[in-house]
Amino acid sequence: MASRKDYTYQIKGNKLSLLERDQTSGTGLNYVYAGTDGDGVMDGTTSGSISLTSPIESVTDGIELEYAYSPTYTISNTTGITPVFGWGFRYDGRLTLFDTNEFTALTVGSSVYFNGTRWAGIQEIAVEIYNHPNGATRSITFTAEANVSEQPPNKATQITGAVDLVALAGDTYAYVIGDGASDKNDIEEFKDLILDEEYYIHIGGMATDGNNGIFKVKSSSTHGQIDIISKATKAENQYTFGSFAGTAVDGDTNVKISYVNYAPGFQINASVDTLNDESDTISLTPYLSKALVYYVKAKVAEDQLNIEAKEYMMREFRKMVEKHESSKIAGSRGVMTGPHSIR
Amino acid sequence: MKVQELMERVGITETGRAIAYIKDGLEEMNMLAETHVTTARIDIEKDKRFYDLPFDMIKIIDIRCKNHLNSKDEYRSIPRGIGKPINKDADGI
Repeated sequence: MASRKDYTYQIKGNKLSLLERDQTSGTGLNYVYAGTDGDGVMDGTTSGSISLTSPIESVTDGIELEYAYSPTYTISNTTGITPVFGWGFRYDGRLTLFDTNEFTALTVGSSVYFNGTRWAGIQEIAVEIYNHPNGATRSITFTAEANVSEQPPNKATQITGAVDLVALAGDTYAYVIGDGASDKNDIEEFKDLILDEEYYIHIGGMATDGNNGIFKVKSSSTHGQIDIISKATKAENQYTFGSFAGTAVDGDTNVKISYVNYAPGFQINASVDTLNDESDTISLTPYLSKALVYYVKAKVAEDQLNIEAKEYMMREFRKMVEKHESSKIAGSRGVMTGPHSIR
Repeated sequence: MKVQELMERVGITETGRAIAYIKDGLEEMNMLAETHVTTARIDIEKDKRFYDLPFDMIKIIDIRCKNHLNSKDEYRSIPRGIGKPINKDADGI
């Protein structure tokens, strides 16, 4: 059974700061005693400190955010949904998505809906979609706008150079190693940025198709070498990792190695229609559409420096929106009781 | 209502300008009254304090956490903390 937790939040810039009451520590002030099972108030509370700290345990789907968004797009169907393995950054800082399979039916400049990620919403494909026949890279890059707040540490999160691939032999792993001294240095710089013992990379640009893809790897103590633990494959939208023997190559040039943040639940939907055309339908009820007419009239009046008309139109706009809100409230009202209310 | 109909009602002929104002209006509308609401779930990571808010978010309506004040895997609203927490986030992430 899951354990009881006690969270609180704060907003810091464009981030949510999540704090958890640490009830596991028995030191310090503010010590509380264990709750009594079945008392309905402190039920299940463990004894310990009540100081607030960063989350003390990982929880899948732990935060649920309910929010309002602007309906500037419509998702026409669900057939265009594609799971994405993960994301990373291109050398120029653009957000890049990586997958084991090709991104089909996408073009540069088209819009894609992101789901299950911090970049939820509409993003525009910029610059490149790599679906090279030999699997050079299966990736797409997005506009800088998609890169909300997280900047790549430096260009070394994606490196390009000449590498050798040494195939699996005996009990050792297959591995990639820089071909020349500078390539080895680049890989070493790439490894230095990664703190995890095991992590995911995308290799693209190898002449042999099977040597490209997404891999679970670990940094080797050998200079400029990355050991490959397993390779990801996708079947029925599920990712699995299998052993990777590899095909030995010597000095494949223009090989791109990218750090990938594995993001389970990340999906993109290409069947999206953004509001960019006269024939597009505005996703509003008829009444709210009329309110929107007032808003646009207000902005046009403002452009003409007709402030009186602008104020009148804005007043009508607000009035209609508020009337629409209150029209949904009917009947008697009941007040919800809180968890600590007196019975 | 289609964009074209709205443009005719307003008497505006420039499509780009009309669409820009429509987008502004949709945002303003959702600021005033939540006409379009959705939810997103984010994984909580051990020792990670700061989480990115969804890119398309205009207004937060509720923040719920799994197992908050319960052990039945229920999502319950969490309160907003006032003041600075004593325990600083060591790595700032």
